[in-house]
Amino acid sequence: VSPACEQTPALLDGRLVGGERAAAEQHARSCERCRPQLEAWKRFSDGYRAQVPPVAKPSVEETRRMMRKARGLAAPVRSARPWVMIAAAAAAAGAIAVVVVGLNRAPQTVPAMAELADGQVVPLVGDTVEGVADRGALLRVGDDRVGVAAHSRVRLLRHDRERVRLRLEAGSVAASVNHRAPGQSFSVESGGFEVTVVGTRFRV
Amino acid sequence: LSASREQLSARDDLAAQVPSDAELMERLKRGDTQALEPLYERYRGVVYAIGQRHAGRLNADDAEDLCQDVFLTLIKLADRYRPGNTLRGWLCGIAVQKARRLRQGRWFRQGLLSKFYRPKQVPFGAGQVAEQHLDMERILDRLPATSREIVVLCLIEDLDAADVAAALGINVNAVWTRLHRARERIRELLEEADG
Repeated sequence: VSPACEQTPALLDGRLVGGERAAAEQHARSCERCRPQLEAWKRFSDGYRAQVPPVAKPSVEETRRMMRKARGLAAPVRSARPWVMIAAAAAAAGAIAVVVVGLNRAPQTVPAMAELADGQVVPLVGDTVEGVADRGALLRVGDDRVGVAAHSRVRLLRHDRERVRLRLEAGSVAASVNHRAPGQSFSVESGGFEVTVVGTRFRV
Repeated sequence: LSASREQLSARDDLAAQVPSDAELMERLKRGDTQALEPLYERYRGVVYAIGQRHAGRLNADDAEDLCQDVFLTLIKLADRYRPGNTLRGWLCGIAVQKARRLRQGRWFRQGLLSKFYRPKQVPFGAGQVAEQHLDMERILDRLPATSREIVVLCLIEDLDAADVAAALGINVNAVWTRLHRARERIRELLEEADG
Protein backbone atom coordinates (compact mmCIF):
# COMPACT_ATOMS: atom_id res chain seq x y z
CA VAL A 1 0.00 0.00 0.00
CA SER A 2 1.55 3.28 -1.09
CA PRO A 3 1.05 6.55 0.89
CA ALA A 4 -1.04 7.78 -2.04
CA CYS A 5 -3.50 4.88 -1.48
CA GLU A 6 -4.26 6.25 1.96
CA GLN A 7 -5.79 9.35 0.35
CA THR A 8 -8.37 7.33 -1.61
CA PRO A 9 -10.99 7.04 1.21
CA ALA A 10 -10.79 10.82 1.73
CA LEU A 11 -11.25 11.32 -2.02
CA LEU A 12 -14.36 9.11 -2.05
CA ASP A 13 -15.71 10.89 1.04
CA GLY A 14 -15.44 14.19 -0.84
CA ARG A 15 -13.06 15.64 1.73
CA LEU A 16 -10.31 16.69 -0.68
CA VAL A 17 -10.20 19.89 -2.73
CA GLY A 18 -7.99 21.53 -5.35
CA GLY A 19 -4.56 20.03 -6.06
CA GLU A 20 -4.90 17.31 -3.42
CA ARG A 21 -8.09 16.10 -5.01
CA ALA A 22 -6.62 16.10 -8.54
CA ALA A 23 -3.53 14.14 -7.37
CA ALA A 24 -5.63 11.59 -5.47
CA GLU A 25 -7.94 11.13 -8.46
CA GLN A 26 -5.00 10.59 -10.81
CA HIS A 27 -3.55 8.00 -8.44
CA ALA A 28 -6.89 6.17 -7.92
CA ARG A 29 -7.40 5.84 -11.69
CA SER A 30 -4.02 4.22 -12.23
CA CYS A 31 -3.70 2.13 -9.02
CA GLU A 32 -4.89 -1.48 -9.25
CA ARG A 33 -5.94 -1.46 -5.61
CA CYS A 34 -7.81 1.87 -5.61
CA ARG A 35 -9.40 1.79 -9.08
CA PRO A 36 -12.08 -0.85 -8.21
CA GLN A 37 -13.07 1.19 -5.13
CA LEU A 38 -13.39 4.38 -7.17
CA GLU A 39 -15.35 2.69 -9.96
CA ALA A 40 -17.74 0.81 -7.64
CA TRP A 41 -18.59 3.93 -5.62
CA LYS A 42 -19.03 6.05 -8.76
CA ARG A 43 -21.24 3.38 -10.33
CA PHE A 44 -23.40 3.15 -7.21
CA SER A 45 -23.70 6.86 -6.44
CA ASP A 46 -24.34 7.89 -10.07
CA GLY A 47 -26.85 5.04 -10.50
CA TYR A 48 -28.60 5.87 -7.23
CA ARG A 49 -28.88 9.58 -8.00
CA ALA A 50 -30.19 8.79 -11.49
CA GLN A 51 -32.85 6.42 -10.13
CA VAL A 52 -34.09 8.62 -7.31
CA PRO A 53 -36.08 11.59 -8.59
CA PRO A 54 -35.47 14.95 -6.88
CA VAL A 55 -38.02 15.87 -4.22
CA ALA A 56 -40.47 18.53 -5.38
CA LYS A 57 -41.22 21.62 -3.26
CA PRO A 58 -44.27 21.27 -1.03
CA SER A 59 -47.49 22.40 -2.66
CA VAL A 60 -49.40 25.34 -1.17
CA GLU A 61 -52.14 22.91 -0.08
CA GLU A 62 -49.61 20.64 1.68
CA THR A 63 -48.10 23.60 3.56
CA ARG A 64 -51.62 24.69 4.59
CA ARG A 65 -52.41 21.20 5.91
CA MET A 66 -49.17 21.29 7.89
CA MET A 67 -49.89 24.72 9.36
CA ARG A 68 -53.44 23.72 10.34
CA LYS A 69 -51.99 20.82 12.35
CA ALA A 70 -49.30 23.08 13.85
CA ARG A 71 -51.89 25.60 15.01
CA GLY A 72 -53.80 22.73 16.63
CA LEU A 73 -50.71 22.02 18.76
CA ALA A 74 -50.30 25.62 19.92
CA ALA A 75 -51.15 26.50 23.51
CA PRO A 76 -54.67 27.97 23.91
CA VAL A 77 -54.68 31.76 24.20
CA ARG A 78 -56.64 33.26 27.14
CA SER A 79 -59.45 35.49 25.99
CA ALA A 80 -60.24 38.82 27.56
CA ARG A 81 -63.95 38.02 27.13
CA PRO A 82 -64.63 34.45 28.37
CA TRP A 83 -68.36 34.54 27.47
CA VAL A 84 -67.43 35.03 23.78
CA MET A 85 -65.28 31.88 23.93
CA ILE A 86 -68.04 29.92 25.69
CA ALA A 87 -70.57 30.94 23.03
CA ALA A 88 -68.10 30.06 20.25
CA ALA A 89 -67.36 26.66 21.88
CA ALA A 90 -71.09 25.91 22.16
CA ALA A 91 -71.59 26.80 18.49
CA ALA A 92 -68.60 24.62 17.48
CA ALA A 93 -69.93 21.67 19.52
CA GLY A 94 -73.27 21.99 17.75
CA ALA A 95 -71.54 21.98 14.38
CA ILE A 96 -69.45 18.90 15.28
CA ALA A 97 -72.56 17.04 16.46
CA VAL A 98 -74.24 17.71 13.13
CA VAL A 99 -71.20 16.46 11.20
CA VAL A 100 -70.91 13.28 13.31
CA VAL A 101 -74.60 12.50 12.92
CA GLY A 102 -74.21 13.06 9.19
CA LEU A 103 -71.29 10.65 9.01
CA ASN A 104 -73.15 8.04 11.03
CA ARG A 105 -76.01 8.12 8.60
CA ALA A 106 -73.84 7.53 5.56
CA PRO A 107 -70.55 5.73 6.41
CA GLN A 108 -67.96 6.08 3.69
CA THR A 109 -66.63 2.94 2.05
CA VAL A 110 -63.02 1.93 2.74
CA PRO A 111 -61.23 0.83 -0.45
CA ALA A 112 -60.64 -2.93 -0.58
CA MET A 113 -57.96 -4.45 -2.82
CA ALA A 114 -56.71 -8.01 -3.27
CA GLU A 115 -53.04 -8.75 -3.99
CA LEU A 116 -52.70 -11.91 -6.01
CA ALA A 117 -49.95 -14.53 -5.95
CA ASP A 118 -48.13 -12.95 -8.93
CA GLY A 119 -47.89 -9.63 -7.08
CA GLN A 120 -50.67 -7.98 -9.12
CA VAL A 121 -53.02 -5.75 -7.10
CA VAL A 122 -56.64 -5.62 -8.23
CA PRO A 123 -59.69 -3.82 -6.82
CA LEU A 124 -61.89 -6.27 -4.97
CA VAL A 125 -64.94 -6.54 -7.18
CA GLY A 126 -66.61 -9.54 -5.55
CA ASP A 127 -66.42 -10.29 -1.84
CA THR A 128 -64.32 -13.44 -1.72
CA VAL A 129 -60.53 -13.75 -1.62
CA GLU A 130 -58.94 -17.17 -2.03
CA GLY A 131 -55.39 -18.07 -1.06
CA VAL A 132 -53.79 -19.70 -4.07
CA ALA A 133 -51.74 -22.86 -3.42
CA ASP A 134 -48.18 -22.23 -2.16
CA ARG A 135 -48.34 -18.43 -2.09
CA GLY A 136 -51.64 -17.39 -0.50
CA ALA A 137 -53.11 -13.93 -1.10
CA LEU A 138 -53.22 -10.55 0.56
CA LEU A 139 -56.36 -8.55 1.27
CA ARG A 140 -55.96 -4.79 1.77
CA VAL A 141 -58.89 -3.02 3.40
CA GLY A 142 -57.93 0.64 3.69
CA ASP A 143 -54.69 0.60 5.71
CA ASP A 144 -55.34 -2.85 7.22
CA ARG A 145 -53.78 -6.02 5.82
CA VAL A 146 -55.07 -9.59 5.95
CA GLY A 147 -52.78 -12.43 4.84
CA VAL A 148 -54.86 -15.28 3.45
CA ALA A 149 -52.99 -18.59 3.75
CA ALA A 150 -52.71 -21.02 0.86
CA HIS A 151 -55.94 -23.00 0.22
CA SER A 152 -57.93 -20.58 2.41
CA ARG A 153 -61.05 -18.60 1.61
CA VAL A 154 -62.27 -15.41 3.26
CA ARG A 155 -65.41 -13.36 2.53
CA LEU A 156 -65.60 -9.59 3.09
CA LEU A 157 -69.03 -9.03 4.64
CA ARG A 158 -68.77 -5.32 5.38
CA HIS A 159 -66.14 -2.64 4.92
CA ASP A 160 -66.80 0.98 5.78
CA ARG A 161 -65.34 3.60 8.14
CA GLU A 162 -67.11 2.11 11.16
CA ARG A 163 -66.72 -1.57 10.68
CA VAL A 164 -64.72 -4.14 8.76
CA ARG A 165 -66.20 -7.62 9.04
CA LEU A 166 -64.77 -10.79 7.51
CA ARG A 167 -65.97 -14.38 7.46
CA LEU A 168 -63.31 -17.08 7.28
CA GLU A 169 -64.85 -19.93 5.29
CA ALA A 170 -61.79 -22.20 5.04
CA GLY A 171 -58.16 -22.28 6.18
CA SER A 172 -56.52 -19.49 8.19
CA VAL A 173 -55.76 -15.77 8.03
CA ALA A 174 -53.39 -13.34 9.79
CA ALA A 175 -54.50 -9.74 10.22
CA SER A 176 -52.41 -6.63 10.80
CA VAL A 177 -54.89 -3.96 11.82
CA ASN A 178 -54.50 -0.28 12.69
CA HIS A 179 -55.70 1.13 16.00
CA ARG A 180 -59.51 1.56 16.04
CA ALA A 181 -61.21 4.66 17.35
CA PRO A 182 -64.15 4.19 19.76
CA GLY A 183 -67.19 3.04 17.81
CA GLN A 184 -65.08 1.38 15.11
CA SER A 185 -64.29 -2.33 14.92
CA PHE A 186 -62.51 -4.97 12.89
CA SER A 187 -63.74 -8.54 13.28
CA VAL A 188 -63.32 -11.98 11.76
CA GLU A 189 -65.99 -14.64 12.27
CA SER A 190 -65.47 -18.36 11.77
CA GLY A 191 -67.21 -21.57 12.89
CA GLY A 192 -69.75 -19.71 15.01
CA PHE A 193 -67.13 -17.56 16.79
CA GLU A 194 -66.30 -13.91 16.18
CA VAL A 195 -62.86 -12.42 16.89
CA THR A 196 -62.90 -8.64 17.36
CA VAL A 197 -59.65 -6.73 17.31
CA VAL A 198 -58.19 -5.63 20.65
CA GLY A 199 -54.53 -5.43 19.62
CA THR A 200 -53.00 -4.78 16.25
CA ARG A 201 -51.98 -8.27 15.07
CA PHE A 202 -53.84 -11.55 15.39
CA ARG A 203 -54.38 -14.89 13.73
CA VAL A 204 -57.54 -16.90 13.16
CA LEU B 1 -21.41 50.43 -11.75
CA SER B 2 -24.06 52.31 -9.77
CA ALA B 3 -26.74 49.91 -11.11
CA SER B 4 -24.80 46.85 -9.90
CA ARG B 5 -24.24 48.57 -6.52
CA GLU B 6 -28.00 49.02 -6.25
CA GLN B 7 -28.50 45.35 -7.12
CA LEU B 8 -26.01 44.27 -4.45
CA SER B 9 -27.64 46.53 -1.90
CA ALA B 10 -31.10 45.13 -2.79
CA ARG B 11 -29.72 41.60 -2.38
CA ASP B 12 -28.30 42.48 1.05
CA ASP B 13 -31.65 43.98 2.07
CA LEU B 14 -33.40 40.79 0.95
CA ALA B 15 -30.92 38.61 2.88
CA ALA B 16 -31.48 40.73 5.97
CA GLN B 17 -35.25 40.16 5.66
CA VAL B 18 -34.93 36.35 5.56
CA PRO B 19 -35.00 35.19 9.18
CA SER B 20 -32.27 32.77 10.27
CA ASP B 21 -32.98 29.29 11.68
CA ALA B 22 -32.07 30.53 15.17
CA GLU B 23 -34.53 33.45 14.95
CA LEU B 24 -37.32 31.21 13.73
CA MET B 25 -36.62 28.63 16.46
CA GLU B 26 -36.70 31.41 19.06
CA ARG B 27 -40.15 32.46 17.82
CA LEU B 28 -41.26 28.81 17.85
CA LYS B 29 -40.11 28.49 21.47
CA ARG B 30 -42.31 31.47 22.37
CA GLY B 31 -45.32 29.66 20.87
CA ASP B 32 -45.44 31.47 17.51
CA THR B 33 -46.34 28.51 15.25
CA GLN B 34 -46.30 30.79 12.20
CA ALA B 35 -42.49 30.53 12.39
CA LEU B 36 -42.83 26.90 11.33
CA GLU B 37 -43.94 27.78 7.81
CA PRO B 38 -40.57 29.10 6.52
CA LEU B 39 -38.78 26.22 8.30
CA TYR B 40 -41.12 23.73 6.63
CA GLU B 41 -40.48 25.23 3.21
CA ARG B 42 -36.72 25.32 3.88
CA TYR B 43 -36.21 21.76 5.14
CA ARG B 44 -39.21 19.75 4.05
CA GLY B 45 -37.28 18.46 0.98
CA VAL B 46 -34.50 16.78 2.91
CA VAL B 47 -36.89 15.39 5.55
CA TYR B 48 -39.16 14.00 2.82
CA ALA B 49 -36.18 12.42 1.07
CA ILE B 50 -34.99 10.73 4.27
CA GLY B 51 -38.46 9.33 4.89
CA GLN B 52 -38.77 8.14 1.33
CA ARG B 53 -35.32 6.56 1.10
CA HIS B 54 -34.57 5.47 4.62
CA ALA B 55 -37.90 3.98 5.66
CA GLY B 56 -38.17 2.17 2.33
CA ARG B 57 -40.37 2.99 -0.61
CA LEU B 58 -43.09 5.06 1.04
CA ASN B 59 -46.05 6.22 -0.98
CA ALA B 60 -46.61 9.99 -1.25
CA ASP B 61 -49.24 10.09 1.55
CA ASP B 62 -47.06 8.16 4.02
CA ALA B 63 -44.03 10.34 3.19
CA GLU B 64 -46.12 13.50 3.75
CA ASP B 65 -47.42 12.09 7.07
CA LEU B 66 -43.85 11.40 8.17
CA CYS B 67 -42.77 14.94 7.21
CA GLN B 68 -45.62 16.48 9.17
CA ASP B 69 -44.87 14.25 12.15
CA VAL B 70 -41.23 15.44 12.10
CA PHE B 71 -42.16 19.14 11.99
CA LEU B 72 -44.83 18.78 14.68
CA THR B 73 -42.19 17.10 16.85
CA LEU B 74 -39.97 20.12 16.20
CA ILE B 75 -42.62 22.34 17.83
CA LYS B 76 -42.72 20.08 20.89
CA LEU B 77 -38.93 19.91 21.17
CA ALA B 78 -38.24 23.57 20.31
CA ASP B 79 -37.13 24.26 23.90
CA ARG B 80 -34.26 21.81 23.53
CA TYR B 81 -32.77 23.55 20.50
CA ARG B 82 -29.55 25.46 21.21
CA PRO B 83 -28.59 28.29 18.79
CA GLY B 84 -25.31 27.40 17.10
CA ASN B 85 -26.32 23.78 16.54
CA THR B 86 -27.20 22.81 13.00
CA LEU B 87 -30.98 22.74 12.71
CA ARG B 88 -30.75 20.82 9.45
CA GLY B 89 -28.79 18.02 11.16
CA TRP B 90 -31.13 18.06 14.14
CA LEU B 91 -34.22 17.75 11.93
CA CYS B 92 -32.56 14.96 9.96
CA GLY B 93 -31.96 13.16 13.27
CA ILE B 94 -35.68 13.36 14.15
CA ALA B 95 -36.55 12.14 10.65
CA VAL B 96 -34.13 9.20 10.94
CA GLN B 97 -35.63 8.15 14.31
CA LYS B 98 -39.17 8.26 12.92
CA ALA B 99 -38.18 6.48 9.71
CA ARG B 100 -36.46 3.74 11.76
CA ARG B 101 -39.64 3.18 13.78
CA LEU B 102 -41.74 3.11 10.62
CA ARG B 103 -39.40 0.64 8.96
CA GLN B 104 -39.38 -1.58 12.05
CA GLY B 105 -43.19 -1.54 12.22
CA ARG B 106 -43.43 -2.54 8.58
CA TRP B 107 -40.84 -5.26 9.14
CA PHE B 108 -42.92 -6.80 11.96
CA ARG B 109 -46.07 -6.54 9.88
CA GLN B 110 -44.42 -8.14 6.86
CA GLY B 111 -42.92 -10.86 9.09
CA LEU B 112 -46.34 -11.93 10.27
CA LEU B 113 -48.06 -11.67 6.90
CA SER B 114 -45.25 -13.46 5.07
CA LYS B 115 -46.11 -16.65 6.99
CA PHE B 116 -49.41 -16.57 5.16
CA TYR B 117 -48.64 -14.82 1.92
CA ARG B 118 -45.41 -14.86 -0.12
CA PRO B 119 -45.48 -12.64 -3.23
CA LYS B 120 -43.39 -13.68 -6.18
CA GLN B 121 -39.79 -12.43 -5.81
CA VAL B 122 -38.03 -10.70 -8.68
CA PRO B 123 -34.64 -12.41 -9.09
CA PHE B 124 -31.62 -10.30 -8.08
CA GLY B 125 -28.44 -10.89 -10.01
CA ALA B 126 -26.60 -11.24 -13.27
CA GLY B 127 -29.63 -11.04 -15.57
CA GLN B 128 -30.35 -7.49 -14.48
CA VAL B 129 -26.77 -6.31 -14.95
CA ALA B 130 -26.80 -7.61 -18.49
CA GLU B 131 -29.87 -5.50 -19.16
CA GLN B 132 -28.24 -2.46 -17.49
CA HIS B 133 -31.17 -2.19 -15.08
CA LEU B 134 -29.45 -2.95 -11.80
CA ASP B 135 -31.64 -1.43 -9.13
CA MET B 136 -29.42 0.57 -6.78
CA GLU B 137 -32.22 0.84 -4.22
CA ARG B 138 -32.19 -2.93 -3.92
CA ILE B 139 -28.44 -2.81 -3.24
CA LEU B 140 -29.21 -0.23 -0.56
CA ASP B 141 -31.90 -2.47 0.93
CA ARG B 142 -29.33 -5.22 1.41
CA LEU B 143 -26.99 -3.08 3.49
CA PRO B 144 -27.04 -3.27 7.31
CA ALA B 145 -29.17 -0.52 8.89
CA THR B 146 -26.21 1.62 10.07
CA SER B 147 -24.56 1.52 6.63
CA ARG B 148 -27.82 2.30 4.84
CA GLU B 149 -28.41 5.33 7.07
CA ILE B 150 -25.01 6.78 6.43
CA VAL B 151 -25.18 6.25 2.66
CA VAL B 152 -28.66 7.75 2.40
CA LEU B 153 -27.70 10.80 4.45
CA CYS B 154 -24.46 11.42 2.54
CA LEU B 155 -26.06 11.01 -0.87
CA ILE B 156 -29.21 13.02 -0.14
CA GLU B 157 -28.58 16.60 -1.17
CA ASP B 158 -24.94 15.95 -0.22
CA LEU B 159 -25.45 16.46 3.51
CA ASP B 160 -22.10 17.43 5.02
CA ALA B 161 -20.38 15.31 7.67
CA ALA B 162 -21.30 17.69 10.53
CA ASP B 163 -25.02 17.42 9.68
CA VAL B 164 -24.80 13.64 9.33
CA ALA B 165 -22.99 13.39 12.68
CA ALA B 166 -25.64 15.62 14.35
CA ALA B 167 -28.43 13.57 12.80
CA LEU B 168 -27.07 10.25 14.05
CA GLY B 169 -25.67 11.50 17.35
CA ILE B 170 -22.13 10.33 16.53
CA ASN B 171 -18.85 12.17 15.95
CA VAL B 172 -17.54 13.13 12.51
CA ASN B 173 -14.77 10.47 12.55
CA ALA B 174 -17.41 7.78 13.09
CA VAL B 175 -19.23 9.11 10.00
CA TRP B 176 -16.13 8.52 7.84
CA THR B 177 -15.53 5.07 9.34
CA ARG B 178 -19.12 3.96 8.72
CA LEU B 179 -19.11 5.40 5.22
CA HIS B 180 -15.90 3.52 4.43
CA ARG B 181 -17.42 0.26 5.70
CA ALA B 182 -20.61 0.87 3.68
CA ARG B 183 -18.59 1.46 0.49
CA GLU B 184 -16.75 -1.82 0.97
CA ARG B 185 -20.04 -3.71 1.32
CA ILE B 186 -21.52 -1.95 -1.73
CA ARG B 187 -18.50 -3.02 -3.77
CA GLU B 188 -19.00 -6.63 -2.67
CA LEU B 189 -22.71 -6.51 -3.54
CA LEU B 190 -22.00 -5.04 -6.97
CA GLU B 191 -19.43 -7.78 -7.63
CA GLU B 192 -21.95 -10.38 -6.46
CA ALA B 193 -24.59 -8.96 -8.81
CA ASP B 194 -22.12 -8.96 -11.70
CA GLY B 195 -21.59 -12.68 -11.06
